[in-house]
Amino acid sequence: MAHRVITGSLLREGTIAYLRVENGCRRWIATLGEATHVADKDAAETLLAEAIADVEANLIVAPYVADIRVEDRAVDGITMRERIRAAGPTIPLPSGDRRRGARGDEERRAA
Amino acid sequence: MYQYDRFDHQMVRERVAQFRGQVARRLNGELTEDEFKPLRLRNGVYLQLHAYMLRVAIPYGLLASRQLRKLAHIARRYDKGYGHFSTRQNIQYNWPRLDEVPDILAELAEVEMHTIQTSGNCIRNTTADHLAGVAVDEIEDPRPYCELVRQWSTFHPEFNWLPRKFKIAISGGAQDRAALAYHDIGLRLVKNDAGEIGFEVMVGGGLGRTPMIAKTIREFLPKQHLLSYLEAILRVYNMLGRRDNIFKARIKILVHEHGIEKIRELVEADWEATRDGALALRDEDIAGFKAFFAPPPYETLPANDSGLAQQLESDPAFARWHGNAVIAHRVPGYAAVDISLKTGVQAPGDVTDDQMDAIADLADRYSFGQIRVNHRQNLLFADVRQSDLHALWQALVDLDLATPNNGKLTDIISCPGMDFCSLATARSIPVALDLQRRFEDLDHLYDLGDLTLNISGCINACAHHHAGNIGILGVNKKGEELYQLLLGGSSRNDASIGAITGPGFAPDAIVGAVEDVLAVYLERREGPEETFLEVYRRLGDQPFKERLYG
Ligand code: SF4
Repeated sequence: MAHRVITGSLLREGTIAYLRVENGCRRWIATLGEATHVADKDAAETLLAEAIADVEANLIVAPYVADIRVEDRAVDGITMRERIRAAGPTIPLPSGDRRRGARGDEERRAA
Repeated sequence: MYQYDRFDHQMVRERVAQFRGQVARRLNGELTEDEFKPLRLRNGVYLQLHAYMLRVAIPYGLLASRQLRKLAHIARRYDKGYGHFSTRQNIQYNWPRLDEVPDILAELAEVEMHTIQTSGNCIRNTTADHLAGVAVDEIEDPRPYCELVRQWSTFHPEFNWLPRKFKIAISGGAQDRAALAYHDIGLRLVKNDAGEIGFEVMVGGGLGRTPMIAKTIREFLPKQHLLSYLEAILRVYNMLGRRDNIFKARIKILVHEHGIEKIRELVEADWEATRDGALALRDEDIAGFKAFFAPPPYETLPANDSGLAQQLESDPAFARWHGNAVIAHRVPGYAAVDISLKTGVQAPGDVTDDQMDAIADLADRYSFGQIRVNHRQNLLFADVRQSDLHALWQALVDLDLATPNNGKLTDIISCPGMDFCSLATARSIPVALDLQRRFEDLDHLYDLGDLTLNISGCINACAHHHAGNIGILGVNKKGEELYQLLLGGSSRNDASIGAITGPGFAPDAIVGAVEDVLAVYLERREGPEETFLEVYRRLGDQPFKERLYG
């Protein structure tokens, strides 16, 4: 079934983030599966409008509404682009996923 | 190679400090993304699909070993342990954090490197023949002129905000190894009837949505007028170039719409008024730049090393690599060596931090501490003693960098495609890896002869798919990837734009389609010496289309 999420890139890190709203509090998380998803377009636009506050708070860049598919509780992007955004590159990286130190801040609590 | 003077150092240091301030102001909200974006692009920072991407300039593809070690360090310290060499002879990092980019730039400045002219609507990093200075067919070394163009173009106040990006390539060989025909300006060093060396100037080439082959605007330009003539071309482009439509803003459209005669008339008129001004180069100016690229201290060696002959005799694997990766050199006893970054296990052009360090060490030992990047996303040692070739080969084998596929089908140019690029319409790297796996048998690969295959993940054509003998363009059809096949492209002296064969192929059918095309080639060639491109030009596309769509 088609649903929608809000997604963008973290300003400081550049990594992909999805909006999760919990108890009225916005968080930007790294995993699509844990993002808040809504079925109808208007609700998505409302969520997006709220997310603009996090653009102004210098947390997130270029948030937009992405269509997703929810089947048997499994969530995935509908387009190839969103599937790759959610799961990462489809080819192994030359050095594995090695990175120095803590990459940090995959979750950022909105003000 | 060129050494920074105090002005270069100061300029680059000031630029780092300036960008550090811009990043800080972006992070604290003083700058909006709209305000910041053109500033970050000016410093090679893109926001891609998964993360920021940083593009570092490698002027005309020339690197010192200490610079390559620094690139390895940056990959290790700030990224995911690898870098990606591009068709513009630059290197890209796919995962840096924005708040660390100023530190990366500061580290680059320590080794006379930067990210200036790697992005934005300016004159980009000039590219060159990777065999500059060592090619047997060379008329003159293009690197001093590349450096002149670099110094003239960097921060040129008049050309800092052009209608679109602007790319210049220079080649000094009889054979074009720098894809001159596909640049906004291509400069070929030539000799005129009087025996003087100057430039054939080509203008208006480009790929992307509207591929075009550059046209000769001037058959012979004396060297002393190089910069004044470039400036005249840029001035005409800057005044007439379309700023209203991004798809029509490149100089190729201007040349196409006005005709080369009209553009020539405008350029020559501008040039006549300025040619003997401050930009006229004196012989001593040129000599000063040439001094930076003086030959290394070659030894006097026999033309053919006797030890090498024995090694070739006794070691077939070495002989195979030698027959493919070793390139003739103008100095007796020396050779140039192609280091293939088309291993079949990592994306074309990718190299790990450890490999970079090891290559830097090998360059110190075997090639006067210098490394070249070519536009086919491979590396090159330009000056290796023949007597060192066997030891170098063994070291490259240990590094998984001795795949002998230089100029063969699996020496694929591939852009990052949808695995990384936010503009992509399809993936390109997985197709490249599938093809490399399918054609890994070297006997079969060599039987196919010299053949270029280029894959782009969208119409922007960063991987020059129109210029490949076989080109693949990934498109998006109703949310699914589809791959168009193009045949007949070339980026050499006989430059030609590949033609689309017909409807595209699904991801699981594109490798089979390439096999079909090659089967026609093998069946119809008149002998093993007739290349794929020659057969295609002789037969036209019909037999290939019949096999593909029958
Ligand atoms: S060709 Fe397209 S997909 Fe490939 S790198 Fe260029 S813009 Fe990205």
